[in-house]
Amino acid sequence: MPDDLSRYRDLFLSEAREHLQELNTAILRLEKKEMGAMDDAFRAAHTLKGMSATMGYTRLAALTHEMEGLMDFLRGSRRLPDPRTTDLLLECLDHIEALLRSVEESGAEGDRDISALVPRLHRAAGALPETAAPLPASPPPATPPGEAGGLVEVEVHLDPACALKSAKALLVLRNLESLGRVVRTAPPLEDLKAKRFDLDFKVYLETPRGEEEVRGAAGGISEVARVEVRGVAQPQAEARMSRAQRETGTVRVNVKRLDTLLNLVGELVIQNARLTRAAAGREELHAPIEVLRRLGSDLQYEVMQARLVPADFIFQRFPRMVRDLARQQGKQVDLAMEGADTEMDRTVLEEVAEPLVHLLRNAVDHGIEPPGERSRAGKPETGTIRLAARREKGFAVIAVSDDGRGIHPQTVREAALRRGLLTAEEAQRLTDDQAIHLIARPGFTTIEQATQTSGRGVGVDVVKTRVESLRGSLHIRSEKNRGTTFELRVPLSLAIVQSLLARVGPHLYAIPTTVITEILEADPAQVRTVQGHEVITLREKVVPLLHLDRLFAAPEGNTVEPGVPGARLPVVVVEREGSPVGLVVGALAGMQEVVIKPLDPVLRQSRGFAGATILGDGTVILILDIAGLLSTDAKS
Amino acid sequence: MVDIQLVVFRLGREEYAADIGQVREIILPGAVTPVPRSPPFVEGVINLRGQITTVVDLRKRLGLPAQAPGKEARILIADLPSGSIGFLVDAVAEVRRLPMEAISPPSPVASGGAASPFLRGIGRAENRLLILLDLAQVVATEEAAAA
Repeated sequence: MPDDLSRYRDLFLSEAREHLQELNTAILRLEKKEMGAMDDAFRAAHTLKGMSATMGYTRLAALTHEMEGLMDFLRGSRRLPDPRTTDLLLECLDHIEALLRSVEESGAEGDRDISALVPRLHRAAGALPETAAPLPASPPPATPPGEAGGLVEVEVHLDPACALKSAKALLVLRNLESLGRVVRTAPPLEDLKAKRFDLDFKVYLETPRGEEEVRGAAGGISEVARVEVRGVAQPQAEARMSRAQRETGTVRVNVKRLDTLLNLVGELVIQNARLTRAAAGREELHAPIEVLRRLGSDLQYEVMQARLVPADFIFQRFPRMVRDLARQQGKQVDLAMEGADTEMDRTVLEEVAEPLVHLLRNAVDHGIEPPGERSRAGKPETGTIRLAARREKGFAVIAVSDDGRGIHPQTVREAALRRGLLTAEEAQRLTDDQAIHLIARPGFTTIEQATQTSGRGVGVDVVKTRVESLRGSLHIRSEKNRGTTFELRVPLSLAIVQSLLARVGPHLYAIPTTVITEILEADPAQVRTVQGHEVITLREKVVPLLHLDRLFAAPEGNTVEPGVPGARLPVVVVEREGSPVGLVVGALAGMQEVVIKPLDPVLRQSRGFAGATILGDGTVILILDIAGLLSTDAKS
Repeated sequence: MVDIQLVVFRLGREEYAADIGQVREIILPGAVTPVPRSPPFVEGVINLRGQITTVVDLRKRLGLPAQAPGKEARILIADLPSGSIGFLVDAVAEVRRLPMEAISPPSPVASGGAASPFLRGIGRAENRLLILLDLAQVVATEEAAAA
């Protein structure tokens, strides 16, 4: 039996969280005076209650039962919850969340005390005007037993005079088993066998038979005093599936499986390249290898598709978060979300979740002004934060905008100056746009916390670093008193990346094409030096050159081979914070799709490599992480 | 009496040992791709059946004089909490059992002080002294230092 239970636990958790999310959304809709959301909230609470009871999670079941009572009452009196009731309901959801977390971590609900919530829920119903009526005493009707494969709870009370409790219990079980499948008993079967129960026990039975028949089967045994049969909601019942699932007929797959599948597909693609090389000159192999290649690439495409999830996967938790933050700060904020159906790779999406939390928090904390300040500035008291996702050529673009006070370039310049991030001369040379981007510099954060003048900047460097580690970029636009937009641009998928292979010294390296703006062969005669740094001029723009062989040779002191005098220099132009940088490589070695594999944490400190990949001949080559490479270079 | 099972290997003239539970396999050194700007003791990365595996030169890590791998050189692949890591050693001697009583705690003198966080103890087997290493610590300390 415990095995049975743990098998259902994952399913329970994932579905319970879905219903919890539905509850959250519905309650926030109620707060916006959408009475229709009450039905959704009620349904979600009811389902959650049934599932919890089935699994034996009594605290969850009790709490959702009380919430359901309050909501049923509100619905009956056609009243919207007042702000305090809304807060209370949301507080209950936080407790449910904590209980679920405990179930996930320890397999049990833990000893969280929820008893204080119950009288408050009762009072909330009682405190409403024109409501002297007590809470409905009986729980609302549950799923009727008897539907195909429906789950029923059979509560059996044995006669106090019963001599062989265990034997009777097992007899009841055997009779019930003839009607369907026994999912679980409470207490567990071992306890029943060992007489570790009082006089009553429960059996959860999956059966197509009617309530009467079930009662008959259990009650037809001597010394069974009383039998109660109730239908219960069941996690795996089709009727309990989320709307999306019902519509598309999907199955749940563990993400690890998809990761493995993607890895295997990557191997397949690599081996295929190897096979192609080995078969060179053998005409008869070309056709089947071509078919194999196409199958491999189709398979790859399908696996990548399977890993896509809508942005809503992380967006859905934000309305609640923004609401709570705004209330803490005494601000009024509307969160408008767009493009929540934009599909992205699950890993990418999970990686941007935290940066988005940061940006939304900043928008509430520092962007949106308090209502008084807003009305003085001639703006609506309620500020708006927009969270919008869209796809753009292999990238997902997620923007967080607010209509708050904006970032003042001059204030940022001054703050950076005080902090010693740059000289006065440098500060004045910066355009306003460049000045605003200073807030993403490491070390800017503390100034903001200390002065709180320019209104922004806490942890933006963290956001930038994270986004760049995904081979993405962060852009900031701001206008004084009109608001600020943070735009994250991240690749739609991580694992496979089109790359340029370049030789540096004896080794090949892969440079993701997403960061490359141009590839050229420079005439050494065009190379000049400016303050000791080599540069070339490209369409009126000065492009600093960076010799990768020199960069990679240090500090081991490997010899740098002198280039052939007069030979043209292959240069890969990439972008660093909006400015071009020319990477000088030894030779270009073609384009290829490579599968990114992560490096061990021991190597992370060497920054500059996004991972490694394996070529068709089995060679391991490193994939450059341009942002990391250039940032360490700037430091040294 | 409780025994532990050890993989015994050589670095220079000294014999070292690691708990066999930490060692997944022993392979011959092949093509290693160096990683620029990595810690000096990192030999590079290898392709271990499709997995990118980092190889640490244990000599360098323990502060022993560097030496090009000879004919008997091997890579011990260890399964550590952070993932698989290869350790380059001069030679693998044997796999043997040792009773717990034959292991004494590391003494600062014998371990030369600096390397001590990796040491689990000194094992006595016949006339030999085996320096017991905790391979997880060998890289974990570095991660902590790097962080």
